[in-house]
Amino acid sequence: MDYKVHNCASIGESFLFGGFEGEKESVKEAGNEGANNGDLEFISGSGKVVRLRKRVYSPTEKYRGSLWHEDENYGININALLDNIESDSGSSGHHQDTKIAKPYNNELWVEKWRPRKFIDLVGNEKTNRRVLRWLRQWSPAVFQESLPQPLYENEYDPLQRPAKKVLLLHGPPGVGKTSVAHVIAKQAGYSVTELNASDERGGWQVRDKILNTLFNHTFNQSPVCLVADEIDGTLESGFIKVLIDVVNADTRATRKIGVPKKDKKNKDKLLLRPIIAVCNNLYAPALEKLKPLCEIVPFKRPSDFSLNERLDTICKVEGVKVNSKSLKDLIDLSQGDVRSCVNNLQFWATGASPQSSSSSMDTDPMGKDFSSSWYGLVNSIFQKDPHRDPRDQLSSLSQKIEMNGNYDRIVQGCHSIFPRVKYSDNGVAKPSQIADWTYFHDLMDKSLYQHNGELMRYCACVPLQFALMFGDIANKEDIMIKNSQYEFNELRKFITDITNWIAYQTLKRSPAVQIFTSRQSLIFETLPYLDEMISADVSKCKNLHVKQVIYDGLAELLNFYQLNMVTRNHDSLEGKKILTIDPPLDQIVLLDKKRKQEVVSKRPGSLNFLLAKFEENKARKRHADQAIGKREKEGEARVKRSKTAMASGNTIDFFKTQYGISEPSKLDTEASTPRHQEDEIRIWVRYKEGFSDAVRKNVSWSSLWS
Amino acid sequence: MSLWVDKYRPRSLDGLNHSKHLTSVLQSIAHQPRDLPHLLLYGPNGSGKKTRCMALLESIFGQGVYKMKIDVRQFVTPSNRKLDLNVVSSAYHLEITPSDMGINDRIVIQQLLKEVAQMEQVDFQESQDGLAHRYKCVVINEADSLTRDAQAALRRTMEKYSRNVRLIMLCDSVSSIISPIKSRCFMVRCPAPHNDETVNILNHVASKEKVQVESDEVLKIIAQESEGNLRKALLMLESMALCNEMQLKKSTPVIKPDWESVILKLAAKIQKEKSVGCLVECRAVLYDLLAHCIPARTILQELTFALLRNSSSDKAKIAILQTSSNFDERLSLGNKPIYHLEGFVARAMCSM
Repeated sequence: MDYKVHNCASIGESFLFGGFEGEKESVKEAGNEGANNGDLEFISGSGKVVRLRKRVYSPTEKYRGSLWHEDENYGININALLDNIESDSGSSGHHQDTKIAKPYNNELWVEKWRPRKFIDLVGNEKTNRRVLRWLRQWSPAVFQESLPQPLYENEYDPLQRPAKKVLLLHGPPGVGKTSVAHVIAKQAGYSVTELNASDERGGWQVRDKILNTLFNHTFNQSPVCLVADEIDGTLESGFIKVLIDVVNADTRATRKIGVPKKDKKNKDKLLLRPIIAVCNNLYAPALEKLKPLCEIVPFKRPSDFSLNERLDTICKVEGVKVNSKSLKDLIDLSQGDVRSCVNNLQFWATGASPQSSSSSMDTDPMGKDFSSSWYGLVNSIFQKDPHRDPRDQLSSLSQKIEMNGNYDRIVQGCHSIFPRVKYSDNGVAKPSQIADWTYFHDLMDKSLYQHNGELMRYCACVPLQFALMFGDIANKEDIMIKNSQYEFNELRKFITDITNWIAYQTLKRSPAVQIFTSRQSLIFETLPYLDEMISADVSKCKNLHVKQVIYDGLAELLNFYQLNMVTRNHDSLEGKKILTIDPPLDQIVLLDKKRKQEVVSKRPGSLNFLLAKFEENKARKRHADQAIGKREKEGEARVKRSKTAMASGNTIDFFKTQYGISEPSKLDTEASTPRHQEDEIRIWVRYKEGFSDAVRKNVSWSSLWS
Repeated sequence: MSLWVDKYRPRSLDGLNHSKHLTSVLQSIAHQPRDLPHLLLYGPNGSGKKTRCMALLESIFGQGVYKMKIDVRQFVTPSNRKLDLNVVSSAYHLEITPSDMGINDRIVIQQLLKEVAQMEQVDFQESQDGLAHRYKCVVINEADSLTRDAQAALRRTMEKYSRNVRLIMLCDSVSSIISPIKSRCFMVRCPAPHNDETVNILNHVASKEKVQVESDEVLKIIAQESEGNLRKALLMLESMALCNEMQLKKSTPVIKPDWESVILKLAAKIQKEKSVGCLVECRAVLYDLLAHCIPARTILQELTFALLRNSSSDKAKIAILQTSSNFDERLSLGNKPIYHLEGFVARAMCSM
């Protein structure tokens, strides 16, 4: 038994359940013992000599019955650890006993009962293991340990680090993301440096701070693991940018590992410390760029069972007597929020007088305005209960609405489903009446921006009006509320972006033309008609001359507005690719269903025709270029003979570039135009481009002057 | 070149070919360029405000005004946010469009105008009477979308820096321009061209582009449909010509932008069926229109006119107009156009 502990410690420098100074000593002893066995020996990052002993597999009949599998133990002898824990928990049990003696101290239970060990964690075991697994993958790089085979995932990394260098934990509040990050980092042998929203995280200060923690060596025994908490705020973009920079610099540095260093300017540093980021909302816009670099681990709410178990333990140790029913209610109300559960429990224990804790605890006031979702609320607005007093019903509804407070969302929901519920009406009288109320809501809601939302409280009566007008006994089923507002916003953003892009492109190309068209008339007039012109069907045209004119006109238009023809997957056709215009002009201007169909059915044909025509023109041009190229080669021999001409050409060239008479780029276009004076004597000039005369080509005399 | 609209756009005052009396006014302004007042050009969309403005500048400064470039300028808002803005400028003038900068237009206008005003413009090229023009023009497009703050910021600047800066503002309607600004400006109304004028212009372009026009009748139809919007008329002509092998007959169908035809269909639907089901369909169309960046007021306006055209009795027409104006007010006061547009549809269904 004793031997086993030593063995494990010397393999993993990272002490699970770190902070045992006594064991630290034993590492050295173990190392010294093993020195004469001819085992592996290398120097760690902190300059310490570490010896690795070849693992001796001793028969472990003792633990054969245990649940641990060989591939799940991350290279650590779990069985020995389990023993360790048992003895440890025995001692901490004593510790807790002393706490019972003074049950009401002023420490928050949330802090007091914050999990300190891996087995304390209540959440989803699998998720926790995933985090631990990721962290263990850093061990080869950080502690110079070797890991058992199945943990190697990233074979390309010479330092055997995980593929994604940042771990991103996300989930609802109170499920213990931060706790998990802390506990696991500690267990894996790191010391945690936390950066949360309370720290200054904007601007340049944060860069120094992060780089200091990540790359500087510390006097601490254990290496640092950076835990960046609450990174989904809107003000965190500077912070996130630093993280991205660090990871990108690391990938660059990793690529250069094999290559010997040449210049000392290279600042890219290898990232040798794990980073764990924590957020609530994975889809916050600030995280957009960070996400691809992260290993993303979602946190779900813990199971009611494990939560119950945990709360039970707390109750027992703290000496609170709560019957299991109210405990269950508490868990239901909290919707998996462990933190709020513990908070409420403490409130019960401290504030509650003995009789209330013995009686069936009324959880209602405890529920911190556990608002019912707006979704359920909207549906309940339209469902009239025949057995209840309508007055009573309305007042409870009003209370619920005010508690929810998300008036805009509720009215939006009501507005989107009212045509689908059952109610009695004469024609569309009621919808036209409710328009007044939605107008009222609009005005009240707008006060948020004008009068600090003083009028917001009146918003609650609009849903009630919906209930009065459209509430009916016949509505029993819940109706799905389609979030059309969201789709609408997305589409609108998409279209605005494209128009802005087109406007900007044309403005950049020819400001003298574009300034006459405002953004508004671009959407209203220019783009719809432009689309119409491009989709013109000319294939039936008999008159070839007219056809050519039209094609030339279209080519100019496409060129002017920077439109390309690309093959693209269309939504309505699975897998089939069709030819369309890019940027998608048709999506901006086409609204009619029939016309939209044409994009799929009719247009590809005419566009194909157009594309063929363009290719033909290009080919013709290329052909002309080739012919000219051939002629130039013939001329080259002649040029070589007359070297004096070359020299003079060079000087002329020099002056010409000085005075901006000719642009080098012009020469290419010049070459493509067919030349007429073929019989004349031609003078050739050697043209040198660039600083070191890297590009040399022969150019005709006339083209220089044209 | 590009579209015919841009290709045949007159570049000097002499080339302007409708509203002759206005052209003569501008010419007299250009004659005494030192006395150029602050100008406020207003008139409907497509009546040639910008064309006139540029032509005027051309007659004052010469061809150089068309040599434009884009600079990216950076502005800092009070909340320390940085704004990048594309400013189109030539040696003699610069242009700003308030809608590019959103609610921060006040800062942009203040900073930009001060920057221009602080620089004395010196002209070495002697003009005819030996005087150098020493001011720079600032063209403000869509001046009616300037916020009140920005307009207020303009007031003093216009007087204080008038030595170095002259403003030319363009807008569709003067109703949202505050009166202090109006009183400081020389107001020029740019009327939409008459149908005859439009036909003349269309004829000119068609003959230049070798479009075979069977009779003037079709051009008259185009002029009618364009509702005095010359840009629209020319675009219509070009797309109709391209779609019909450069031949325009009397029977050639007029091409309309999709959004217009969708609104027409919507109007027909409203009048045909008065039910909640129809209302749901209308809502989908309205959402679609709004998502395609068609402003709610334009939708309301087009819808109203279409309904008026279709309805027979005077009573119904009055009811529609009343409802429409009612909801127009709501649109301008509120933030959520979809509620009001749908409300209008429902009310219109009831009133018919």
